[in-house]
Amino acid sequence: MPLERIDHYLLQTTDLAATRDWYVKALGMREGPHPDFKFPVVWLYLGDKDVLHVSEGGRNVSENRKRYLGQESQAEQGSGVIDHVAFFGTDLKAMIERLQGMGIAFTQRRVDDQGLYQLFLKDPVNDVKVELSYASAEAKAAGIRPELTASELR
Amino acid sequence: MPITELNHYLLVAKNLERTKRFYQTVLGLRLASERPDFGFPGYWLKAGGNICVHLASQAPNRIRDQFLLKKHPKGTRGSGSVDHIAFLAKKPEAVRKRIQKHRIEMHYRSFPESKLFQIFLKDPDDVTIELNFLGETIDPAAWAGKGSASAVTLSKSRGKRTAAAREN
Repeated sequence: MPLERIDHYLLQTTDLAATRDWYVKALGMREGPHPDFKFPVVWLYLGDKDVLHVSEGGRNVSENRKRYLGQESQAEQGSGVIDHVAFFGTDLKAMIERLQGMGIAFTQRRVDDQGLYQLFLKDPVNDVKVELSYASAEAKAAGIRPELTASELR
Repeated sequence: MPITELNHYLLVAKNLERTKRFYQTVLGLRLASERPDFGFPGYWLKAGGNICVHLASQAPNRIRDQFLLKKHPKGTRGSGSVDHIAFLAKKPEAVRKRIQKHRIEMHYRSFPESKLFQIFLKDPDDVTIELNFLGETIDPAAWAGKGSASAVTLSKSRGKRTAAAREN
């Protein structure tokens, strides 16, 4: 099975601190480590797993955030603040070949300090952004290169 | 730890069948046969043995709107078509008390036949969160007034399809 599990979802909010505090207090999540994306993020954990990524949303989103992730919606309320949902998988090369074979556009990102290689694509029926995360060692072994690496942002 | 893991997201699809095909053929998810009768059409999709995507349709459906916390107009696109994000959880009494302490409105959903109890709530950005307590058969009526804004029990009526939800 190429996709093994749901991994996390990303919320964009106009109030990063209030969102973090709510998930910590009401749902018992824990703030934990995250890579340096060169834009503000908070990662929230259940046990040892980051399940919710929070970044800036609304109208005043940084250029780095837009460059790395784009911005699906400037909505400040409701499910429009969900930017994407992510899955974790194995066999990156097979997935890239499958997407290319089906003519589905995707972008590629690498996060060195997490050892992650990410594909972003759209569910074409609903325009929902989906992230597929793989171990970046798979990309290295197969000679697959991203358009953008998180560490290139300043 | 009461809330234990991320479980699934629910997408209210413009075209249920095409969306199902996308998740199956492009992402390789597998169709789960064990989806209960919620009283509205949809699919459960699995990755690695676990349900991770729940699909429903934008076609007007009263039970769906009653069950979820908002109406889904036709033509919704993008992440606005994600209805909610669901977690698995344990210790329903402790979780309810914690949420209630922060004066957050909750909605209870009970499936006695599936031994499933759910709490729905909204985060500060109005995103719907669903908490799933597996193996629990709490009667939402017993929790009436304890932070509950609505309580619905879904049960099969004489072996037929779920006709309507019973509101307590």
